[in-house]
Amino acid sequence: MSIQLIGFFILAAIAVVAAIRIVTGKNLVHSIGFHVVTLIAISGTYGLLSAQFMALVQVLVYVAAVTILLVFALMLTPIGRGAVQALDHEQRGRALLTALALAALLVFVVLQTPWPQAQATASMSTEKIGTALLTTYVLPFEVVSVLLLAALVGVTTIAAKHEGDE
Amino acid sequence: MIPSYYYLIFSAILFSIGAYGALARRNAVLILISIELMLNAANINLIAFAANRPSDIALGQTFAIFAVVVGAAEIGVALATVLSLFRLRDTINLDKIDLLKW
Repeated sequence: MSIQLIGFFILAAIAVVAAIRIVTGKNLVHSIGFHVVTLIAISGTYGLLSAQFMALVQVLVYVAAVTILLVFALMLTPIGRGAVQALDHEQRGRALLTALALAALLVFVVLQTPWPQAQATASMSTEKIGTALLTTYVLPFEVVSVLLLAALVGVTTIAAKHEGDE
Repeated sequence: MIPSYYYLIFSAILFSIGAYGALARRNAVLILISIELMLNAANINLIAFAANRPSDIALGQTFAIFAVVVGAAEIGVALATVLSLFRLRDTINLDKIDLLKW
């Protein structure tokens, strides 16, 4: 068993255990904390796949920005103000069955399918991503920046207090 | 080199956990966290496939970067909607938000 395999198993175990704690926890703040743990473990597996740039983006975008947004939403909504309500739905049992069936199906399909397997570990990829983003994929790159701008304007409009509210 | 199906099984398990969270919770913020988990599971798949095609490794990772950008835009809009809903209806319990339900 190579050192990479051991590292992968440790990271995967951390991510899965933290993810289970997210969806079963009784405290929203703890759920957000475990979400951070899962995201960091996932960024570790990106590192094992020689995707250093993606690992960095994962930490910057998800662990930093998205978590701050989630905490903001938490503080502005009732649970942040102490009004306790049930977090779980009464259809939890059926949801568990559905999720288990989905997991079984996905694992079965993955094991049945022959996947291509590279012999050599891929080399440093950040330079290739930069070149690809600004040559082959320059159009989607610009489109996605317009999308981000549209999301920014949309978020401001949706979240702003309008004249006549309350 | 780790076999690629290890990563695919890992991401399938994360995706199922996220699906369970999205179905079993009733708090809007928790459902959003579960959806983020599912998005991340999809990204793991993209990057695992990219790593197994060294000739065009940039392709899969570029796709994953776009997925991250769209995911970030999505969570921003969704949380703004949650705030706006809370202001209008005084709850983020999704069972109580039935404005569009007939």
